[in-house]
Amino acid sequence: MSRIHDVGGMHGFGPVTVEPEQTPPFDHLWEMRVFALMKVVIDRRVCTLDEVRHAIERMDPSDYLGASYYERWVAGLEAVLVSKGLVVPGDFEEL
Amino acid sequence: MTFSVGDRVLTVVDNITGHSRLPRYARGRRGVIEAVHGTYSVPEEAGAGVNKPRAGRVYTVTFSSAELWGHPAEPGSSVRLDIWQHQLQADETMPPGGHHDDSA
Repeated sequence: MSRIHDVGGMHGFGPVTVEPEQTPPFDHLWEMRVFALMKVVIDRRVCTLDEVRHAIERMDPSDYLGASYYERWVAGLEAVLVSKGLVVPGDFEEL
Repeated sequence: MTFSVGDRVLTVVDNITGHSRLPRYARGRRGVIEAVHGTYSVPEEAGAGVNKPRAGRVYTVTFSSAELWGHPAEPGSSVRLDIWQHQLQADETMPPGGHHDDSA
């Protein structure tokens, strides 16, 4: 069994595009904040990266496919931190 | 049981419900150990939030593209994956091109 993230070998997603490098390597300011937040919670051992990955992989399949890379990070981080009682749903909307 | 470079291995086809680094396309497939690494937290346990997840040996395993994708695969190409020990078993079947010695 596998989940929606496990698309290796699946047809229909089109070519993999490689974007030119940019500094900083983010398209939006909120992505930088999400990246920083992920680093803090992992460095302080609030949770593991694998817990966030597990949460991302549990996303509703249609939400997962419609989300950007960092939108998935937000969804995964929020799910883990909500499960630990550290934030409530919606806390990340102002990122 | 540990593996060494050159050993032939078979990946598990477990009904994995948690976080795993073994992609679906490489489950139940035959490959060769290319490198032996250190030990790292087992992803299934770390992903489940286990307090002190077990550490498991990680290997780089090479799969021929034909093993993974069948006939449409690019000839001579291969895929390398880093895989934890608990998802590998020894592959006792004949290697590609191997044959039984029936002369006796």
